[in-house]
Amino acid sequence: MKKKKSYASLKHKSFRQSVIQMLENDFKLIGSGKVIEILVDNVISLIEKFMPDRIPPGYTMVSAISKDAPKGHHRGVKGLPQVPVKLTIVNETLINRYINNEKTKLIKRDYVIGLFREAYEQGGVLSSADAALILKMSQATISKYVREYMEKNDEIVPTRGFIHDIGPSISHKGIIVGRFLRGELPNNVAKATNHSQQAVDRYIKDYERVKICTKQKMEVAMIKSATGMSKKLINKYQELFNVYEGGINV
Amino acid sequence: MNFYDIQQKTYHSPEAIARYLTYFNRIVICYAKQKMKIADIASVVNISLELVIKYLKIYEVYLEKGSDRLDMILNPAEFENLILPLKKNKVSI
Repeated sequence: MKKKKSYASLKHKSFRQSVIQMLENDFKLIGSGKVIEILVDNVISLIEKFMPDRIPPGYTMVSAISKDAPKGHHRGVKGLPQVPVKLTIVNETLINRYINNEKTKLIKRDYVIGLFREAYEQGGVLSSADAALILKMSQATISKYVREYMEKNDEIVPTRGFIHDIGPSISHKGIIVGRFLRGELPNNVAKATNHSQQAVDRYIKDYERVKICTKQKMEVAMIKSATGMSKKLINKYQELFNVYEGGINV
Repeated sequence: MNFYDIQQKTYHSPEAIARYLTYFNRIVICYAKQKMKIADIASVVNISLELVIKYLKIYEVYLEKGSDRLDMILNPAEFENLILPLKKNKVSI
């Protein structure tokens, strides 16, 4: 693959490079490159050790809803606990991907997924609106990236919608029920998907409700009336029923 | 009886009335239209067996008496229109 040299210079725009440049220019330590690099790396280690809370270049801080906040969307965000999370804006991995001329769409998609994960690892959950604001992208595109990634990798991205069970999102329910149907125990599914045991049990129960109706040969509109679930979710559960349990023909 | 009267006489919120009517609607659809077993209805509607039986007793009473509202409840589109004001907290109908 053809490399893009214009991005290579970005690697040298860093605090580390600034200190190297200062030592070389102001202290005339030219010629001892390796020694300077070791010296600078040690200084950076000391800074990290003594100032753990600082925001280094390439990161930003945003406020996210705590992942332990009460679930459901009837409360609004005003009364919910929030946590500050440090998110990557630029790092060497990203620059290398640009240098390697990877598709921008893929870089963006992975970056979006990474943001949700970074926040979750620090105890917060970002919504697609949060991510849209940070990235100046549309909420629809963010949701599309998340959906695509989850469908392709059969993994749950810890967005606020999925973790707090908000909105019409169905992909995570499909993944959770799919794992259960493949033989994983509900407690293991809960752990692997960052969901509570109750949420996993509820999705499995909902799947069973749709299964009963499907076996009765009820039409989707009628199942919707009987269960109160959306058509999309019913279709997803029926799809899983067909794949894992042979559908109504068995 | 209109919803306002039901609310006054039963001391229940519009949301609670909408919820009970929704359960009734779901149970009757499964029972009358789908001929589902009572145990299956309890699973599908996600309520207890005892409650399903209670709702079905009410259904049998009004089926015998004949009721326009019952016909309305059995029609999904008409039912949605019926409880829409309750959901939106507009109770004066």
